[in-house]
Amino acid sequence: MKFGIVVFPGSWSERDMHYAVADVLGYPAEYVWHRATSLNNFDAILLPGGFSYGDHLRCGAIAAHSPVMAAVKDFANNGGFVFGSCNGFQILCETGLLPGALIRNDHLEFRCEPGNLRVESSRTPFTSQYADGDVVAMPISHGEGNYQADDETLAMLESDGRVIFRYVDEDNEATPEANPNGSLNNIAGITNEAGNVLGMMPHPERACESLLGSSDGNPLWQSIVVAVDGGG
Amino acid sequence: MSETYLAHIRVYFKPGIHDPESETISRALGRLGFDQIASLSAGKFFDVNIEAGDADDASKIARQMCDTLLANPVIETYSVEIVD
Repeated sequence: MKFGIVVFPGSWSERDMHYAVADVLGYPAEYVWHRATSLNNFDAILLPGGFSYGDHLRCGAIAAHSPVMAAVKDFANNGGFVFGSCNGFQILCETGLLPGALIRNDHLEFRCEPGNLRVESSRTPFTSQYADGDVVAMPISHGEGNYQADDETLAMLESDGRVIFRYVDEDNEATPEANPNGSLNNIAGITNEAGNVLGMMPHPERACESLLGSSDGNPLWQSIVVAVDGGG
Repeated sequence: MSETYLAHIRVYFKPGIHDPESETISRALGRLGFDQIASLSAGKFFDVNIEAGDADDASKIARQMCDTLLANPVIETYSVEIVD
């Protein structure tokens, strides 16, 4: 089992991801530079947060056309597990591996703060170590996390159970006040149709030990390991 | 023989996409006394000099640029004008 953590010029969460996966949980993980064209050595690919290529044009737009993303598309289309957080989620939407798009927060502010998410489904390779309906604490840190999709796509995501994380308040209610960015239906994270690609705006790697206020992100990495090799 | 054509490319949000930047700009103008604004839409503008066989060719190339990178079809639409 080996994680590949993709590094673009302008990525800023790759070391936090490496720390959470390798230092806290002890799983092998290696960085992959954006010019890489093969991902054959890896069992799961992680796309970190940041401002890839300065987020010029649109967040994630330039990264979506980088050499490594062609390899990530092949990897995902062959059933490989791909996870993106924050800028990683934006890149996955820009490549078309996930539907919809992330635009500027409705209040126009950059928000870096703790938050609560409801795990809507534990029947994914990324959430098997949570329970349905769990409320987990993970911080957000973004200016463009406002999830948008057309009505048809939104209805499909909801009816197919592909909304995996939703912003909720402390009482597990998906209220407008709990929504930090204006995302439709308080959506914080979704999967692709096959279920092997997940993108989310919050940062599980920043919730990896109690010293940071939460270790609720760890079951996400553990779920991926279980999906790859049965937890071995 | 190819010539150089100037393409004016506009990229803007599709109708129905809630655009907080445009709304903020519109409100700011309203506060400055411009109470005549019926609607305001901010977007991106690209000047691209394109080498092409003719203006139609240049327009086609500009549209391909939009479809490939300059616009995100999920949220944005675009227009292309070849000006010379």
